[in-house]
Amino acid sequence: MKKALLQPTVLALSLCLLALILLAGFWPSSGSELALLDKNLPPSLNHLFGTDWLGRDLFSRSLKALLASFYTGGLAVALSCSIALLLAMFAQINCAARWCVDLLVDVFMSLPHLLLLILLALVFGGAQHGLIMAIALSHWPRLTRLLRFEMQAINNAPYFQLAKQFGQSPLTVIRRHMLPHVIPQWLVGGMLLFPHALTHMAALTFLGFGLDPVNPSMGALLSQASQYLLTGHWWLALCPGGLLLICLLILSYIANAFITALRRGPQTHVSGGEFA
Amino acid sequence: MLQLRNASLDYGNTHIPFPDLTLEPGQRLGLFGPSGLGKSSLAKVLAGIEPLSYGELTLPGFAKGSANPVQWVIQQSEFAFNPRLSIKQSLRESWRSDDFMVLLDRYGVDPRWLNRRPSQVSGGQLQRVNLVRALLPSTEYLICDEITAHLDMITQQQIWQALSEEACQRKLGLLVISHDEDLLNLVCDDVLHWTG
Repeated sequence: MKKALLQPTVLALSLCLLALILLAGFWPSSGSELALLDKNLPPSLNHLFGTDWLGRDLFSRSLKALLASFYTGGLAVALSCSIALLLAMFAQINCAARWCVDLLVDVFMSLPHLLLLILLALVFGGAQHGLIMAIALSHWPRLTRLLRFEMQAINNAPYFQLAKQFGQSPLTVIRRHMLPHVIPQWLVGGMLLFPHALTHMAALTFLGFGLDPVNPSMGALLSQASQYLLTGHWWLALCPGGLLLICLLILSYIANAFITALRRGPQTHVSGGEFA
Repeated sequence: MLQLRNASLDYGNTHIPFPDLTLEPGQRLGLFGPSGLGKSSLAKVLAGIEPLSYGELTLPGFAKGSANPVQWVIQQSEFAFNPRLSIKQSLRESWRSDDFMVLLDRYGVDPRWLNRRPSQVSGGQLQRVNLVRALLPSTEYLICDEITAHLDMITQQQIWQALSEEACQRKLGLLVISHDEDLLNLVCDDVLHWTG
């Protein structure tokens, strides 16, 4: 795992992403300032991503939208991963617990994803917290299933059974033998969930169930830009969309590097990388 | 005393009836049977890892948090060790101190292996470590499940000689499970034939 982090490409991409987040955080403009004399300007040195129909700087708006997406997406993914880990651990108690968790996973996986997201966002009242809860409560099933099988495989491993024979307490056995194996996969699962959550956030905001349209968010930017695409204002969709795509590709690359490192490391049962 | 009476195990739709057996302290009992009968399942039951479905099992008692006096040594030693831990860390898991050092020489374990990972030593070397790990001062019975099946003759001889001496010295009950009848006749006092 350490080697995966220290690969030059992974290191460089991680630093780029970090720099982008810091830049967005400390960027002086909120992107809400109107300048009607500068409206609909194409990308230039003064306005890197151009301006929109109200003269607002699209680069500032894109950075702030990205920051909002990362914050909301990060929180939602952290919650989703915690649910997955807790349910996978609960499934190890006995057959009944395993059956309950499997049933719950099957039920959630059988529901149409976008429909479930919309329903959950509505139930929790929309806006930012509705979006966070919708993503958190809809993205855990695949990771739960993966973790549950990984934990079961360890549970049946002779070295795990022998550790109990040596009088080790259940907590010690889990800490020494279960968690070191499961945690890296849990982290990779979370990293793979993150780009997925960001696209779903953008989709929900695009459909009008997400963030407040006044505040910049990736979904709102793309949604509003779609009205101007046919009028030749290509930068309104292409620039924020490109920024989002680049961030998602960087995240996916880092997550895949982790998966490759896990496969090469000792005792790995990582299966696939799809949590979509 | 370790005793099994009218016992059987259900694995889904599979029913495995076990033979009656009694193992006294210091006794070396061999269990002979063809592959696929459930010898390893029997070993797991005796070691308390798998709960018995039917019948009676008498095991020596032990306090919660202390090591089981019935220890189980498996054939594929590479699965008996956490690949993330060094050999020394794995040994300390059962011994909880460095007292195992006295056994290393007797079982031909080179102290230089201790800092290696299980994948960095051979199967024969790992099986010796596996035995040292199970031979705690509190161990009263040792279930040896085909422990030398894939080892060369010289290593087999060294291991069985050391184990036989250990069994005599400290009244260790040995249950030797194998499908090699010659080996059982050589090592054990009695041989139980399990034909299913």
